[in-house]
This record gives sequence, structure tokens and C-alpha cells, in this order.
Amino acid sequence: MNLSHNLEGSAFFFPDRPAVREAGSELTYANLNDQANRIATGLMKLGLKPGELVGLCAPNSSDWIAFYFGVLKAGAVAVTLSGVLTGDELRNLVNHSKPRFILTAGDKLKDLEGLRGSEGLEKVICPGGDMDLPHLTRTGSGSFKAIERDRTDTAAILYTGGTTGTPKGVMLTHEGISFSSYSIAYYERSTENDLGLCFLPFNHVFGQIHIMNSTILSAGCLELLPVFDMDRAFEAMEAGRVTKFFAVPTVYVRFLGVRELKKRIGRLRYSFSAAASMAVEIVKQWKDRTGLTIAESYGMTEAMPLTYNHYYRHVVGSVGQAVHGVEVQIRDMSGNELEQGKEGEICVRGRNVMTGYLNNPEGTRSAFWDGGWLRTGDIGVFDADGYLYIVDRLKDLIITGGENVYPREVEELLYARPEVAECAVIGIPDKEWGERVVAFIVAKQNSSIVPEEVKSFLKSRLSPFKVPKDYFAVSELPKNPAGKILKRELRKRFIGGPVK
Amino acid sequence: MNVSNNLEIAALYFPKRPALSEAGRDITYSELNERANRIATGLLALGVKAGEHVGLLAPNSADWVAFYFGVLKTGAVAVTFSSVLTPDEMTLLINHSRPRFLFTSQEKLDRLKGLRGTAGLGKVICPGGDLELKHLADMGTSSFKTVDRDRTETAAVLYTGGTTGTPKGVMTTHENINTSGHNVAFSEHSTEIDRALCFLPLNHVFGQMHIMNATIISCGCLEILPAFDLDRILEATKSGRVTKLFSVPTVYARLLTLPTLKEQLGGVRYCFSAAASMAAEIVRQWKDRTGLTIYEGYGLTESASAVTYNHYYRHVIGSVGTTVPGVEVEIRDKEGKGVKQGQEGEICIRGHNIMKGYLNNPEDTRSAFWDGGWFRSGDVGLLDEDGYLYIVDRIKDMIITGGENVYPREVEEVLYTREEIESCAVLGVPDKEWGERVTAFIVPKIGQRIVPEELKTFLKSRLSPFKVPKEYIVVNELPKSPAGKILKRELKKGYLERPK
Repeated sequence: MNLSHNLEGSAFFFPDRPAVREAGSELTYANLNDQANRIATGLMKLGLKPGELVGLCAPNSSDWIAFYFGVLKAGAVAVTLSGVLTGDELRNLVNHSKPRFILTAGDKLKDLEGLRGSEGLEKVICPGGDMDLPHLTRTGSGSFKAIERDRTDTAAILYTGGTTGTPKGVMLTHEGISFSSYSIAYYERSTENDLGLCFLPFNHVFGQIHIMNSTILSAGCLELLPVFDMDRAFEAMEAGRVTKFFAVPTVYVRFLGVRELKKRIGRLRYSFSAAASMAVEIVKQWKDRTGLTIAESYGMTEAMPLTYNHYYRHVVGSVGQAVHGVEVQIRDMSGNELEQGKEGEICVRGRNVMTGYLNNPEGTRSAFWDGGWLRTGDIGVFDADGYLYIVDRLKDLIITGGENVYPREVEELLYARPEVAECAVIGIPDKEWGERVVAFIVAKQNSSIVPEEVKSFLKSRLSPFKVPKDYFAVSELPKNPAGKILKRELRKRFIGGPVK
Repeated sequence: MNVSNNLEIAALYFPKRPALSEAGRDITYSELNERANRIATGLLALGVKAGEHVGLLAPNSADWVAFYFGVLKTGAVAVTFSSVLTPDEMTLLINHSRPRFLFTSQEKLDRLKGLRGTAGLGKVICPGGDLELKHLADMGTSSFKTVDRDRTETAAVLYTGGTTGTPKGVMTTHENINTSGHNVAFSEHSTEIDRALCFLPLNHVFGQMHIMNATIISCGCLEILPAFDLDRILEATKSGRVTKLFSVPTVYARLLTLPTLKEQLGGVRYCFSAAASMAAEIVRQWKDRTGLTIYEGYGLTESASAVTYNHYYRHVIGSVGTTVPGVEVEIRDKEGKGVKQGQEGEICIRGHNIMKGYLNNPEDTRSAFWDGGWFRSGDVGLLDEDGYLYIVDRIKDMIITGGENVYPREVEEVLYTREEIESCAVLGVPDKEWGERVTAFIVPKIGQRIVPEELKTFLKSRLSPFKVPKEYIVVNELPKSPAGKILKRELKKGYLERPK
């Protein structure tokens, strides 16, 4: 088994159909596969062996995809690093994973230079580096068949989580990624006629598995944007180059600020959101404005989609039911399964689950209960029909005056206010309460936030201890490249000096 | 994990849509699920426990389907017997599997009485038996939640193969059935609006997994017939109640004799054949006459159906297609070593669709696997350079004549290109001089005559001399299993015992 068989299959079945479009140019499946073959054989000429690690640290591009599959075809492991890492972060992760070769962009060269030799990094592949990609592909050959790997061998490593402590490099297998890509293609009814818009970074599970791998598996075409750019997204949609839209809640919020939305989405047939909790209000507005349901799924790097919310019986506010072949349980903090209807930690078992964290046996051990059940760190609850509701991140839970407050509950209500574009609720240290609930709000254009009004609105709907004590109007919220709001950044900024 | 979750989910998504259609009457998903719940709770009231065996020995019916899911919902194992077993076969298999309860039809009652005490058979459920199905259902309640089972627990036992030696009861797990059902639904692009014709027996892997379970997973409707009946099949297709036709090669050959075939197929959009090798000639004629492709797959009871699938894209007539997602195929020699691509050998299979073993038969279980979970299919095949699998023949059907190997299928393929032949079977009969003598049995088309000398000359121009049958025997029909497979062992027996 080799994940890159999916590319080979699509190139065989649909050689002349487009695999990737970017900046007006188009690459067919035959071209993409040929390119990946050249990279695989080129890397093998450099001495690459199955099981060795090769890094990718660059923004989305067709080269990125070809390189990724080139690495996999050679039987090696793709270590996919964010293209926006700081120099320190990059050095930290390269030291941790020790890739033998790395594909990157010219601006990273300075950060990587000192790591060559001592850290086992042999060659940096980029313009101005040890060799550039065109040079590597010239040394390779266009016809090659992927090296066979065991289904439990690692295919890719994706880094996740914070920058403190031992880095968490999530090891995903050939079988794991194949299984998840396939589940997604099945649920989305993806075919060779689909065009998936992708501006989410490939180093992230959403971009790499849900969008890229599942599109390649179903022989569809990826419409690539290097980063999110609303004008270019609309340009592609209006030109009819997009049938599937993948975004995070904050992007949907921005789209909803556009007039005559329905006219501008072209042939769009499917919209999907993940990576962060989606406010019910946004789903409703999107449906009103475009006629499309926002399908949702719940997943994480350590466990690609766990659940999917079908159009069959879409329940707004839920993330849907367990994906075929995946088992989900709600457990208490001692690992005991809870009765249906009770809140607890979401635990998952199935082939979508990672084998562990790279070089981090301790992190791996504490991530699992016995029997292969991964602890997600999220709090959730099942309804009687098996629909999962995400209550919140375990670590985002606020404890104020001894009471538990799930920020998401408060945020959901704030989103119902017409003047609120985006918001985040967090707990900050407080002498009296332990933690004090505070809200950060981005107002919609031409609107303003009146804390007293918001407060009295919330008071009429929430227990008093859940109502934020402070309200901060901000012009934007800090986000990671995948569009997730970074609450730890907010906390840091707040503690560093009140945000005004 | 429990296979019957699929029924529950379909009932939740589409309570009012038809799950089954029998004798012109639709049964909705909520009705079927309620019936299954009543049977499950009825069986629990009788004392059935998770893991115990419950038998089904009856022709296809809505009751059969409800009973099957009723058994699974309790966590018990459904042992599905052919309804056309001879009394001796029935006694042998019931003694072997020892079901605690048995759902059957009245005419089997006499024979079953003797098995009551000795085989541990508690209650026989049929009119005139210990209790009727209706009575059992009345004891139960309509709402019930399936008992959760581990993915590796047996869900169903299906008997396969000959009547000599220890019976082979294939233990198929909840995960096996889900894996295959899902692969079939994905490959066939099945949706809730599909209606699948099911006259193939539900005790057989084709009927039970490929047709029934895959249809329930995709929330479609099963058009149930108790057995093959050409008039009733055509009545169902003509009236538009069938979108997917599932059949076996002999039935396709028979349908091709109809003058107004295309008109009689109604709303059929999809045709599929399995369970026996399909002659390329039949596929070509079918396409000419109906405009529809006959899709093929390769699977066995031990693989819970789907191993390979021949897609609409790059459909290769004569091949059974490429492996379905997550399933691996290798061609191996007699010592278990992989052979080179393009060479013939035994088809070996690995994946989550492969059975866990034969019931109470550790010896056959052991010899059915090579190390590492590779199941030996007993079929000879080869993979072309694009990964398409070709079935050469069953290992045990191979004829050795004068020291040369003859695969009957190759000869049959050539015979099927003849105008005058409706169906045929080639086998080896004992011969003093040659060891085995190649012999052809032929059913002519209505109004056609078979001239052995002509056939012989025709075959000689296309085959090596040792492959050309020495004898040509015209028969009215060929003996077939209930699933439509030609029974070569019966044919041989009849030939050897014929009056001289």
C-alpha cells in the first residue's frame, strides 16, 4: 500500500483531466504524476531510502503536491512544515524531525543554513539552495511506480499544537490517510468533475488530507491559491472553476459580508467548514444567502475526520455522526465511558487515528487510553440519535468562582448579535474569581459595540457567572494560518497590557 | 461497531423511504427497523445472548431481512444457510454450527425435529414450529438500541464450498461487512434513490453483502424476489422498480435471448455480474443490445465480496478490474512467493474485508492463509501492468491432460463467441491415455443445432491442440447452484454415472 497509488490511479484513469490549476496555468494528472515520478527518482539518485524523512516547508503550489507525492513514491516520509514558521520555530522542528532533504522557498534559506551537516540535513532544495527543484526533476525519470510500503508505515508527519514543550509531530500512515481521504470523497460524493478551491495550507490536516488527498483520490481538480485572498477566490468562483468550497468559520463570516453572494459563487455545489467551531447563526445565514448547507465535520491532526454532518439529515449546531468505521465515545477524566447525553472528553478509535507523536513516547502514551482510544482533548456530548456536539476545548474551559464556563456557549450568543463580526471569549487570571470571563469582539463594518447593551443581552440568556465582565472591541483577532483564532495569543496580549 | 447500525442510521435519515419492496408492496426504513427491533427484543426475551448463533434457513423475503438485522442487533451471530439444502446437508451444517434458534419455513420442519436435542437447537421459528415469527415480534418492542460489538466479532457465518470434508463456515466480522458494503456503495455511486433487484439468495455473499448490506448502507431499496424467476424479474424491471440489476453470467446469457430486451429493462441504469467468470462475448452483446455496461467485480465469501472492481472509467472487458480502496492483492506461487507482474499464480488478498476464519475448523483456517494475513483465494489469476486483475480459473477446475495445463475458462470464452451457444462448461473427465480428457457440455440457443465437427475445427484454429475438447455433449441445461454458478462437480458426476 502506498498513498501515492491514489495519484497513480487518477493519472491512469484520467490522464488528460486537470489535477491542479494555479495562477491561470493547468497541470493534468499525467503531468502531475510524471513530475512526481521525476522527483521520486531524482531523490533516490541522491540516495534517499524508504522510511527516511524529507521536509516540505513552502506555501501551497503544484510543486508542493508533486514533491509530496515524489517523496511518498520513493517510500520516504513527508514532513510537512508550515510555510510561515518563524526562524526559531523552523529550526526547532527541523532539529526534532531531522529530515534528510527539504523543499523550501528562498526566504527560508538563511534559517536553514546553520542546520546543514550537524543535524543530518543534507540538501536544501530551493532557488539559491543546494539545488533547485527543476534541477532535481531533470535528474529523474518520468516513469516510475511507487515503492510498496506496509499499510502501517508512516506516510506523513504533521506538526500540531503549541510551541512550548516537546514538539508534537503527528505520524499518519498510508492506510490512515487513504482511509480518511476515501471517507471524505464518499461523503462529499466527489467525482472527477469536481473542482475544489484550496487556500488552506497543505501542511495542515484540513488542506493536506481533507482537500488535497481526497480530491486526488477522486480525480478532481484543485484550484490553488497560495493563501486566502477573497478577490481571487471570487474570481475563481465567478469563472465557474469551483464546485467545492472549503473554509473555516472566520472566512464564511467574511463572505457573508459580501453583497449578492449567490450570484458570485458560480457553480458551487458544496460548502464545508472545519478546524474550528462554527456558530449556528453563520450556517443559517449562509443557507439563506446561497441555498447551500455548510457541511461540517469534526477532526484533528491526530484523528482525521471523526464525524460528518450529512445533507441527508443535517443538524445545525452538531458536527454530525461518526464516520463509517470510526468509533467515538464520550469518557470521563478517568477514561470511563459516560452515558449518552453526558458531557465528557471525546475519545476515538479507528484507522483515521495517528500511530503516535514522532520521537515523543511520553506525549504518545498520554494521548491514548488502553485499546487504541485517542483522547481528543475536546469536550463533547452525544444526542439520542448519535449526533455529536462539541462543547469546547478542554483547555479553553474557564473556571470562574468554581463554576465551569465553556467559552463557545457564550460566543454562540454573541454571534447572534447583528453588530458582531467575530468574537472570542477567554478567561484571564483574577484574584477574586480565579479566572474572569472576558470577551473580545470585532464589530461589523459601520457598527459599533456598546458593552452595556451586549451585557444586558447576555444576562437575559445566560447564567450570571457565564456573562463576560469585560468587553474589548478589537479590529481583528489573532489567527493561525488555517484561520483558527489563537486564544493563547489573546491571553498573552491581554496579560502583557490591556487591549484597547 | 455493529452492522445493524447501518439500518438504524438509514431509518433515522430516511424513515419514510422504501427499504424493501416485496410482491408489489413497499416497506419503509422505519418499518423495517421497527420489525428488526421487535425481533431483537423478542429473541432477547427468549434468552439469546451476544455471540450466540441464530440460524436463517429460508428463501429471500422481507422477513428474512428483518430477522437478520434482529439477530445482529442483539449482538448474536446470523448463520445463514441456503434454503435449498438437501436434508443431509442441512443436518450436517446445523450440527456443525449449532444455532440456538432457527428461522425457517414450514416444509423443513419434519427434518429439523430430530435435531432439536442433539444439535442444541432450542426453538424453530416458522408457521407450525415452536413459535411463528409474528408471535416472536409481538413479544418484542419496536424501540431498541443495538448492542455494541467489537469490530472483530463475528456478525454472520456463511457456508461455502463442497459437501465433503469439514464444512467451511466463513466467519465474517462486523468490520468485514462494513468494509465491503462501503466499498461497493462507493464504487457503484449508490444513493438513496437506487432500487436494487435481489433474486440472488441472501445466504450467499453476493446477495447478502454486495446487494443487501451495500444497499442498506446507501439507504436504497431492495426489490426482493424469493428466487430466480424470469417473468417476475422482467415485471419488476418493466414497471420501473429496478435501477440496479445484479445477476450472474448464466442469467445475462438467458436475458440476451429475449427479442425486446432493451424495452423490458425499464429504468435500469446499472448492471453488475459476479459469482462466476463472465465471457467477454456476453458483455459485448449486452452493451450492443442495451447500451449498458455489465460491471464486474471479483470477490469470495471469505472476502465478504468486493476485492476488485471494474469502473466505468477505463472499463476493461475481460478483467475484473482494479483493487478496491484498502484491499491489497498479490499473485503468488505455490510456495507463497510473489510472482512477477504478468505471471499467473494464486490470487492472495489482504484487507479489512477478509474473514477471521472458518467456524470450528482451525485446520482449514490455517491452510487458507499465508503469513501476514494473506488469504489464499484458490483462484488462479494475473495482474497486468496497469493493475487490472484477470481471473484465469479456479485452481481446482484446472485440467491436466497429457501433462499440459488447460484452464477451462479459456476454452469456454472461445465457445461463447459462437452464435449457436447459449451456455457451456468445459471440464476434464478421467481418461486412460491422457489422464484427463477435455470435454465440453453445451446448451444450444433455442432453434439452433450443435455440430461437433464444426466446433472442433473452429476451436482448433484458435487454441493449442491439447486445449481443444475431444468430446462435445449437448444438454438441455447445466446444473447450477442457487447463486447461479455452474456446478462442474455435478456435471462430472452425471457424466460418469451416465448409462453406457
